[in-house]
Amino acid sequence: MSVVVGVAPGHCSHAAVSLAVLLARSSDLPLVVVAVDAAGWPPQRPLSGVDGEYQRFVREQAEAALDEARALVPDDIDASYIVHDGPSARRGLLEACEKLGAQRLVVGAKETGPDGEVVLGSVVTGLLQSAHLPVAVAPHGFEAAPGARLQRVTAAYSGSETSAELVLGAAAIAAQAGEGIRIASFHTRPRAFLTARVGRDVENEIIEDWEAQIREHAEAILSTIEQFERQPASVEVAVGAGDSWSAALRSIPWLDTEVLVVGSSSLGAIAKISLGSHAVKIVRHSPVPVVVVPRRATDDYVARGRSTAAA
Amino acid sequence: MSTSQTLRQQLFRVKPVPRDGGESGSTLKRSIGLFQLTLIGVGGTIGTGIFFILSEAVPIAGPAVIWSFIIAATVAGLSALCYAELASSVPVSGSSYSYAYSTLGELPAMGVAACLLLEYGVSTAAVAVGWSQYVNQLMGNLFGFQLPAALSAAPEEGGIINLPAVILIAMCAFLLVRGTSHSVVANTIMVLIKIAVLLFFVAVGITGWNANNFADFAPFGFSGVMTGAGLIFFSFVGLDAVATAGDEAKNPRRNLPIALVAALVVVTTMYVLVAVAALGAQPTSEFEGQSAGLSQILENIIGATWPGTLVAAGAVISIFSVTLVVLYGQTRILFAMSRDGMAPKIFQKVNPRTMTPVANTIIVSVIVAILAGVLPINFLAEMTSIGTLAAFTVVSIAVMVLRKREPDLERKFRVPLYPVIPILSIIGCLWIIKDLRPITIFVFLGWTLVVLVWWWFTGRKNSVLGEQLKTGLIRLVGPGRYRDGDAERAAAHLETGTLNIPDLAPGDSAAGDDAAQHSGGSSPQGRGDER
Repeated sequence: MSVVVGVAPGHCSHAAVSLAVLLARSSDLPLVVVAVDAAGWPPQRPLSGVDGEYQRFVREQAEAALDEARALVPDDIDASYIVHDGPSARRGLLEACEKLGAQRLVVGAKETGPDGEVVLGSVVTGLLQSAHLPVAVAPHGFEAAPGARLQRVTAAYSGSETSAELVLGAAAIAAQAGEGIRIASFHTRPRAFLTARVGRDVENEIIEDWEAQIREHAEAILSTIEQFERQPASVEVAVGAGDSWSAALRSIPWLDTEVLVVGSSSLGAIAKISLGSHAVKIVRHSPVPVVVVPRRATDDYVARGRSTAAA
Repeated sequence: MSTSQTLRQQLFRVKPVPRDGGESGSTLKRSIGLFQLTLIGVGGTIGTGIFFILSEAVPIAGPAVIWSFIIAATVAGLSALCYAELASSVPVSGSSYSYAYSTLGELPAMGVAACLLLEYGVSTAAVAVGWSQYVNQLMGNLFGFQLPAALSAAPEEGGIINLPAVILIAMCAFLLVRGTSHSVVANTIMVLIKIAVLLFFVAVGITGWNANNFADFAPFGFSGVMTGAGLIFFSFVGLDAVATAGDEAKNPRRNLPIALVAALVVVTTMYVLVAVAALGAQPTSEFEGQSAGLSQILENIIGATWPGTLVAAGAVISIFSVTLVVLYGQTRILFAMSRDGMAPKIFQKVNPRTMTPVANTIIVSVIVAILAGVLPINFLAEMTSIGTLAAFTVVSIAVMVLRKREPDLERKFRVPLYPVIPILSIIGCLWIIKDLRPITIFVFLGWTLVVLVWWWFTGRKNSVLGEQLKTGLIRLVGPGRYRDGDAERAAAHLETGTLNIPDLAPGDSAAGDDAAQHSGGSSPQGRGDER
């Protein structure tokens, strides 16, 4: 098991490596820095001619990206560095994860857009749609303090059954690593139909009801967590509200080293095309790094949580 | 002690509201300007009736239907002014049910609720039926295919079920269950589409002008005009959206009345233009039984289908949005009533995943779909009108009662020429009601009676407010007046954010225990008082 971080030449991998180091240190796992060499199509050996020259160039670039990452990884982390050949950056990373038995894949966002929005590149977007393991996205410019460990994991809770399982899994993993757990739900204030002549108060009441139910469910999850062999460092329930997703996510306090775990709740075949709309909004607007757990990976994730909790 | 309640107290107990800009006021942003406010009025109104009301009203009133429009507009305007004062004097943002509960008391609120349930439920159905006419027209023009009458008309009109209407309601229910909203921008776009379509109709329709069609101007005399006004009033339902949005409006004292009158003028002008163009284009006798009327008229004038197709497309889009809005309103009124203990609890169940009252939406949609599937449109339109007119009458009375009872209450907007306007409003509403068909009036009275009887046997005892009065959380100090019974307990409730609803506040166990003790001790006495 390991934490895999994808780096690419020409892209700033500072944030991704920094987050990967934080996650690896927090979970006491080795770190594997992977640069994908996706130049060869079809891959030809031995390298010869113009194509060979190009492929050598690309491989050098990949090595350079690894060197860059090497300089960023502190000594206390057990890290290895590999170049992986793959048909594309996305598939190469996923193959590498599979081969290495990765527990997490860490990637960096492309840039920070206006209003602090996290802009995802095409590779990351593709990864979020097709990955079979949790993918952590480091916002552009993310940097953890030297020697820092995760203090708390916040698990986004949507009210669904799957989401509750995910929260439990996150809690178990957090407990194992000695971190705190926070169950958080978010809503953007509803805008009623202006022409319906029923006023806005009723929508506020609906939200009140919703919040009461969410808190009740969250308390039930907390009481399950209390039966864990190993307890998280802290437990908490939070509900964030705001006029936009960005405001809602920022309406609850965040620690310096904290990640937000969110399930992408897409259904069946649709999961291949898009992230659950809420998950993608949360990734875009989160002030902290987000770990997206695909629906396909939830069972695995929860099972791992269970086994660590039992151990 | 006030732990027992007399019948009079029960009937007229008034739901207290946070008077000093409590929590409901704090998050409020006054962001809607005069122009947007006017557009909300126009958007809430146009699109309900004008697309199909002419084929129902012209056979009743003749070309004098123009006067029906103006009479209906005047009454709607007067009532909307009263509505605006009521809305601005109660610092809650709700429907006329909430306003009546906070001013007149529980029984009148239930009366208004009966009107509103009728108005919203039936008008959704009516609008859906109108939509099905235009969908059929559109399909016929575009694909040369129309549903057979058996699947697109009510039983009374020779069909079995109005399938498109049922499908429309199912689609709207789906959107509402998923959770959707209607922003200022969306409203503006819809208004523009509607006005563009109607102006297009007028521009093309006027080319078929024939003054002879107006020769017999009022074949059915004044009573025909008034009956027509009753039908047409239906197409002015929605103007009060201005009053409800008033608490978000900038400078309501100035902007509310201007926006109301401006919206009314715009809407009435559009309607009268459409009516004049339609009347000029074909003789009175041809209106009867015409489905998708506006499209048909244009096709007859031009001799081609494209103008009809254009109008039908516009109608399909705008009626869809109106159905969505009204169905939404219906579910939220029931939600509010359920929270007050006035409707079954199932209506207040919120699904945590979708954040919408799912069961509520489905129940309402099924009932409305049945109405739309089997009832003819003129009956539905009249039922909507009477529901609205009765609700407006109560609102106008409430304005006068409140002026007398609480003269010093801060009102962000006051009706000009008081008491002339409320009185005229009441007279106007009652006058139009008087000329509706007897069956409409009987069904309306029957329905109101059913709701009140239901209230007598269930709501009266389940009333959340009644429970609060019984436990001494709130004390009545005269008809319609109240004060908090126990400052400490009230403060505890303010903290948990549930001023009015103790049984829904988790963890507020102190009040819950109290309630149990009190109701155990005092209920026999209370019952003695009731009988």
